[in-house]
Amino acid sequence: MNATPLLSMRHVSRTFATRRSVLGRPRDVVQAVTDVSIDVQSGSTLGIVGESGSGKSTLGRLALRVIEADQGEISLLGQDLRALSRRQLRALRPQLGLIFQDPYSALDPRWTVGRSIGEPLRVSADLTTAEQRAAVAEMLQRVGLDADVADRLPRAFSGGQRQRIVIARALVTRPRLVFCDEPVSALDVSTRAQVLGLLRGLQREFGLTYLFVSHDLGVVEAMSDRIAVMYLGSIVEVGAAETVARSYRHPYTASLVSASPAPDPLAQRARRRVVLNGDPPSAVDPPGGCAFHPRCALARPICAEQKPPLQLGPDGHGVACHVTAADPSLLGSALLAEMTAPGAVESDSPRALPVVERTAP
Amino acid sequence: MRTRSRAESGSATPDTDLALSIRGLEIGVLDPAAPGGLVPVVTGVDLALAPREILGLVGESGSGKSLTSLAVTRLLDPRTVRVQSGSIRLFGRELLSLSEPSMRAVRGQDIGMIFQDPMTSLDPAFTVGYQLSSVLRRHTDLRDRAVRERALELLGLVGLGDPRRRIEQYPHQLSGGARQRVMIAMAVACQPRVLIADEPTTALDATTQAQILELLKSLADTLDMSTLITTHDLGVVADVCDRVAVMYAGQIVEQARVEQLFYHPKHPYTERLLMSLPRVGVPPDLQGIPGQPPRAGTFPPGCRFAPRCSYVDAPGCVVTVPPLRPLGDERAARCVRVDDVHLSGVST
Repeated sequence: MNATPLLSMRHVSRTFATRRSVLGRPRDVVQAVTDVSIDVQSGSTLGIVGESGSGKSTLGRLALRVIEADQGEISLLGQDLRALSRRQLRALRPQLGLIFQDPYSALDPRWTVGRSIGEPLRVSADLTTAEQRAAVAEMLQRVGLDADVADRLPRAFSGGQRQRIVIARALVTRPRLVFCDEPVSALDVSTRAQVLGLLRGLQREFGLTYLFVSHDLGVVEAMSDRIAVMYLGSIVEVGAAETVARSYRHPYTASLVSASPAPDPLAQRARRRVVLNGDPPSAVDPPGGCAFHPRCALARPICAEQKPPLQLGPDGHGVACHVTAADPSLLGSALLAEMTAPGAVESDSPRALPVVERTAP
Repeated sequence: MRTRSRAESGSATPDTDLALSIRGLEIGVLDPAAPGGLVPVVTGVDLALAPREILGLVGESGSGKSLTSLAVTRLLDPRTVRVQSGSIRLFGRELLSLSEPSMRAVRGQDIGMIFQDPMTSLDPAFTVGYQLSSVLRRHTDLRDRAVRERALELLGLVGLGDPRRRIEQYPHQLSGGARQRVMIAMAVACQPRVLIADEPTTALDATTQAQILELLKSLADTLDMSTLITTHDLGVVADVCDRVAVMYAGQIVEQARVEQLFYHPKHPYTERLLMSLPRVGVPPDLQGIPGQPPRAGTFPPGCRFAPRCSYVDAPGCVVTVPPLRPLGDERAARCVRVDDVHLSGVST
């Protein structure tokens, strides 16, 4: 924890303006990321997990300055990222890589695989055509594809193969920091594990630092050294991957853990499951206090009034929760048990339905 | 785990006792370049769904699972897909030979359907109440106020809070989970005997998925309904299904009760799939399955999984298609080495 982090964000916020009504009602402001502070050490993976609308992808884009922050400080590779001129930013780009969720839309269908992979080099590096071809061929081999696929078009490839091509393109400039935005969500189960394994191997080989965003806690845990859990634009829990997945102390993390489907029918059916009340709230009009309190089985009056700060312990485990801060025994399965105690959750089970006569077929 | 009567795979349960019985189903995709103009995508599928049972049909994209379940509803697009042969019976009644008007009645009343993306089935221009009422007016004798009352009742049944407000809302005003609940309400409006759910939670977040799965489980009991769920997610299967059939390259490769399949798989593909799933709190195996699933039209001659299988040995693996062999105790596997390789399941 003593080394200078490769990426350091302090009090970073970003809002988006949206127009909701065709009748010209005033624009609504979505608070996509609110006052986020986080460090990522060189060569490590920070996993960011959360549901749609939690701001996890926005956070990754802010970290690479794909989009601009409204407030806060971002230090990347020793530079003040927000102060960089366009020219300086362009010079930094080869050090940054991006891997997207959908390998179908990420590749231009009219470009050969080789042209797509070589494009970042053409833009950033002063290489001869032959040198570029050699670099592309080497990248293809590193991601487990034959060098001769360079002359083919993306449509010849399956989702998993396309994602390998996208990875080759992201890494061809040998970046230091790579933002993986749901890199396996669009892939089938059997290819998903292959691609995750490939990403891990490449990380070791090239000493890469990953920002790894996913809605799937199992995938994030498999890939990450540290995990940040986001809910409605804020980090609610952060810590070592194993700590967050097993000794979690935020009720939202507990519900994510209990909702993650496990391929284990007996455990799955025996386990306590938190069924959250209602729908995820809107980021346009977030609840006051702790944003999670309307859905939280443990909420107290204070939770509706004050937003809990993210309190970082000496072990680097940070939690933003009034309730568990007051009771250190509430962690991991004990927290889950408390949340699923009888009376803690409203039942979601349906009422009996009176029978209705069918019309004759 | 709930107990309910189950169909014996391959045994002599009469079709009239089964909610759904699929035999020898063959589906082809139209392709002028292919021999006979059709590329086979589903080949020789047999499935039995017992009353009140929840059966999972699991497979990756292109495995044929969705085509199989759509064939039951006869909603396959005739311009691109054709059922070539086979039989699909609903409590003994053959569906494939029904006229289109009779089939429409079956779809409304006897078979309910929900799909991955609720927006494809909900009309954005009409309120939830209007759409739910249309279903009720078309398929029941209810009229006027009784329709509205029934619609409110259904919204309550699927766990939507504040039905009186919901009934006035348009689909875009609802969250993904609420839309899926509305679609389920429409699907079960006439108390169908069979519910076909095609990837019902794939587009939803984890906590919402958990809610919808709980709902499907309790509806199967409350409404005395059988459910066929297609999914690519073995976690979903572990959660809600009684039995499961695994599809690979257009064939069923393994069928079993859920706990047998997860703890004692009998097909190498099932074993590798189970190993490939990253799981909270368990160190991952990130090798996956080498290679890619074969595309329709390029199925290998023997076992279709053989090119990716680490247990390939017997000549039978690559020469002829192995049969789906009954193994007793309601299970079957399509592997010639089923007796001499020991596969590992999920550890408890």
